[in-house]
Amino acid sequence: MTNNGKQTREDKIVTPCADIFETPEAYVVCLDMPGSPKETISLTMEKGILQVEAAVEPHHEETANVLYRELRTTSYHRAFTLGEGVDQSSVDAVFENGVLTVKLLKTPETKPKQITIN
Amino acid sequence: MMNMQKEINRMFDSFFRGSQIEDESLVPAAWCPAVDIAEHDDEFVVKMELPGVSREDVKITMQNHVLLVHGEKKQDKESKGSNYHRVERSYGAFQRTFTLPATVRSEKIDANFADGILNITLPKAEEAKPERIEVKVK
Repeated sequence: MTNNGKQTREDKIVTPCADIFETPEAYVVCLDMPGSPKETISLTMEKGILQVEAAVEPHHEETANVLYRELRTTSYHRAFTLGEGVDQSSVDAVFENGVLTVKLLKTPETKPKQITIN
Repeated sequence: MMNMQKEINRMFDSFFRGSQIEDESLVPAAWCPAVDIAEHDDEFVVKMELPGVSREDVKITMQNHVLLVHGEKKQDKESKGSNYHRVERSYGAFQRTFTLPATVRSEKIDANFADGILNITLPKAEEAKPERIEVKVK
């Protein structure tokens, strides 16, 4: 309550929480990124490093008197080093309900193979 | 004057502090979403971070000036039965309660979801809106 009704917004870069799981065809990364509009999200892949960056829009108008504040994130940033088994040319990403889901397809060599018994 | 400001702030803080309500239907919370509360001239706004929670899984109720937001964050169907490497996100039941000033018009409360943030707007009653009167000096 020291802001006297004015917004104070210091930079707070947050590492978004991630779940990583594996399906037979792909590795899937889910990141919790509430408050960042889809347009601000940047996803890049360079030299085997997948980088995610996003901005969070201010939650309140300047005229609002913020009585209680827990939402302090101003941007998100996280990088993942990918292993050999990922096909870096085929990355698919969806942003829904504040969750970014990145699907990284496996290279043919890492996919499970069915061996027929003669 | 500063003391008066502090006193008013303290009153507001106690208004919004979550109160315990007895309800057996509620499951213990597994995680606690972050919240902002802001006041405007004509309304209060509550913002809650709920990434990955679907609209149908959130319930908002208002009873005796206590606003209760509760629900459940479910794990994606696709990820179930998959081979996990890392789980950092929280799942399960959550709930938060806020005691609001009596001046909130309960019947006009509105809520919407945008980019994983739940926005609840609570309009103030007419008599609670700030009134500006100009006094002419003679």
